[in-house]
Amino acid sequence: MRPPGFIAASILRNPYIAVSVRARLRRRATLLLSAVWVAVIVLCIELNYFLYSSPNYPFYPSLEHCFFSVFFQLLGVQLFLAFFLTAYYCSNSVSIERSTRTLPLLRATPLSGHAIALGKIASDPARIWILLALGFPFTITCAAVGRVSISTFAGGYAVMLAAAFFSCNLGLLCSAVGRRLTKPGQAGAAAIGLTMMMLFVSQSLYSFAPLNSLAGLSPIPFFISSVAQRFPPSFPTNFNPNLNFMGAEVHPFLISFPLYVLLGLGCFLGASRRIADDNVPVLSRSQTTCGYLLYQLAVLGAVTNFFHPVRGFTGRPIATPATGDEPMVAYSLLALAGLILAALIITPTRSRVEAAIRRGSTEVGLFRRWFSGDTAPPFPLLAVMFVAAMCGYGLFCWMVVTNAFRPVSNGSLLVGATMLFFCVITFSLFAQSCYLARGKQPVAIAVAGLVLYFVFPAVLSSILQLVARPVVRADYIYALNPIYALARSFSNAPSNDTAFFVFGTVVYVAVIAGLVFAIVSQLRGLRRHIEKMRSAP
Amino acid sequence: MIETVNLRKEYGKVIAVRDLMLTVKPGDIFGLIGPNGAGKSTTINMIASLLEPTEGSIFVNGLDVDKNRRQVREIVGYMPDFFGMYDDLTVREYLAFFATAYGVTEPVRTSSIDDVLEVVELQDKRDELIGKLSRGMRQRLCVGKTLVQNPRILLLDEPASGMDPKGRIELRSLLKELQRQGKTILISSHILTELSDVCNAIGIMEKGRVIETGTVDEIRAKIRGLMQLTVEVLEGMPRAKEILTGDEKVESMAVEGNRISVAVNGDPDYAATILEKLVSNGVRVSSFAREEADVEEIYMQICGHQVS
Repeated sequence: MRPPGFIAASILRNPYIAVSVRARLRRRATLLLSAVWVAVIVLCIELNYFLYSSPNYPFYPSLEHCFFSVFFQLLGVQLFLAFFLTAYYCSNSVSIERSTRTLPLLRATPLSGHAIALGKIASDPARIWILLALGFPFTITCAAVGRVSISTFAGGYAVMLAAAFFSCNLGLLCSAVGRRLTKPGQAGAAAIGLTMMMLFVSQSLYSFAPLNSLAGLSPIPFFISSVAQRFPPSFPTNFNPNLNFMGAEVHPFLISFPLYVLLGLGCFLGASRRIADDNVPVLSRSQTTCGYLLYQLAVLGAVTNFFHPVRGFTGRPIATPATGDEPMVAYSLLALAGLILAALIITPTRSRVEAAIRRGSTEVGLFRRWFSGDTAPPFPLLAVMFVAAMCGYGLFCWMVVTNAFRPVSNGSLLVGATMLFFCVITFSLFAQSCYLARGKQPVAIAVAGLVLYFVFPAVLSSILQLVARPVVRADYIYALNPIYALARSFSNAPSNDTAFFVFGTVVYVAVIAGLVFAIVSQLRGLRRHIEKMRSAP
Repeated sequence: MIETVNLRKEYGKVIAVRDLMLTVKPGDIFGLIGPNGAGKSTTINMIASLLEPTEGSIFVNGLDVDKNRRQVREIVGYMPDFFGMYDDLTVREYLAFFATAYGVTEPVRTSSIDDVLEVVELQDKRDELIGKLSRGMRQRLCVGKTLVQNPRILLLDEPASGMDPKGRIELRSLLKELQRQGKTILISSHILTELSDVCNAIGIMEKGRVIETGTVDEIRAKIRGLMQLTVEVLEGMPRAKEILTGDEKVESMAVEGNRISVAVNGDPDYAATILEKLVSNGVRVSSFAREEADVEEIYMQICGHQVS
């Protein structure tokens, strides 16, 4: 066992970090970005303080409440930086080295793949690390004034950094696995696509659980849960942000943190292996790691499901609904991990497509005809699949809202599995097309759709919660998820969230249109690419 | 210093290097010559531990490359055929990065960088961003990067490609200087004249095999059977053609004006015999010359023979 100082020494003595940070910070953009960032933070604090001090609109009952709210606002924005932008920056890492042909020089040095990968995740998102460091004094000040508990503060930063660790390594992995992936935009698209997939799935799985048992999967609900502890009137009376896990109350961050660290570690190992040698099997190490993780999760799921008195496999009736979250947590984690693994397996790599072209075949991968790359699925089929996935998701939400989901039945699991299957296919297609095609416009649209879908409603709902809490109920956070809102509108739930439903539907239609456009554009690009390859001597 | 034993590299059904047996002695400048696709770069990449052989072993300074990658990389300086650079770094930072990556610490690092900058004549550009350097300067900087950790062995894959004539001359003198310092150099090129002046041993590669290896003189001796003779005739051209055509050792003949070029399968003694035959048969010879084959001709003859 190496001493803990080894990690610090590895970072400090890593030449790649020094050189790369220096190169990246040389441009004036970093200074400009930092200045803008500090200005945004200051503006955010000023605005909130103005809301607190305004005699006509006293949004905050006390200064403490005001800064408590600001703390989470700042942490939320930093989370966005850590989760999305680090993935994007790291997704350029290896692809740029490939396209500029510096990778062989790097490989010829005695630096190990781990050292290079560590250097890349530490230095490529250097601007983000600087922004986070600049935000830290403000955040800790707000936490002190807002009397944020140390556990919440530490938990928030731990989840954020763990999410950043995962996100960096996911980007790095996407950049490293494609041997011929030289366009930075392609790897970026793949990384963002996978991140989106994870968030989308965790968001959808959120509806599985009667309580917030899945809050730990996505960092955004974690923050909402933390906020809920301070603002109980904003949330339903039965709202419990903690998990009831094996009879004990567990904070969601205890799921988030290890999950992100483990997934990040798997990606790191896979990426460093591919950085060191292009000729190892694609994803072999990370697949093994994921497989091991899956195995552990499966064991956990099986154990908790078998022994827990409220689970369905034993056939015993549920004594008190929603008293135990373990089966749902285990099942959801399992489903999420399975989904990621399935997407990785189904999504054909460029080398597989090229190998198929070389042997004169048009068939690649598991679903040979539709996923071969050069015989892309027809658009109507794609649309039907997408709509079917959404319907399955909507049906699921409806079952949740109408309590049809309690207890967990085999039927609901079947529906869930079907929904996941459609999600896998849809997002595999998306990832495949992003991965293979050229051109950045569709990627930009997809990213815009992602921001529109996740970030904007999250930010809006947070503002509503924190600023206008006297008039807005916590349920509306979930109503901003349009499919959930759709399900609610058909259920017996209070129907005063029609406006949110309309808003959510508009957002959702825009997102679907953007995604469909992105997929179709990418497939066109893919066709062009394949034609070019065929015409090449 | 470098030894490959039955080295083989396969890419699917394509065999890039087949059963390669190569030995480079300490202090040698060994030139690996061959057309594009002959397997030179693959061989060098395997020796540099960047590619894993399908079969066979490589020993560098007595170390098995497969089992001692890190140690091998520490003593080997590698320059690929196509390479990129970090354009956002200055020349000095670039060299400092690779020096650190190779484990060179201060104060040796600073002096090493200064020495390298002097050797590659980039002292004036030390604080210039790499993105602003010309192609030739970048090439020199990459050579400098290869030297910065003071390696005992240099693997240079097409180092002169893209260099102007002046740069090539400077590279040749640099290689000779490095050889004088006791470094072992394996250099590849498909431009033969680049290597013939500096290499004291060459290996000719074709289709993944080394088909000839040895010093330039040794290889020349091996193909001496195909001697080139040029005869200028003042009088008696028909008779001269008749004599040369009838000679069993003359492989081919080309006539241009009063000049006859013949390829003869014989040694210098036989050249004298031919001259004697011509003169004794009344042919008036104004010039009779035996041409030494240069490396390029050697290569063409060997490769042509190999293909046929």
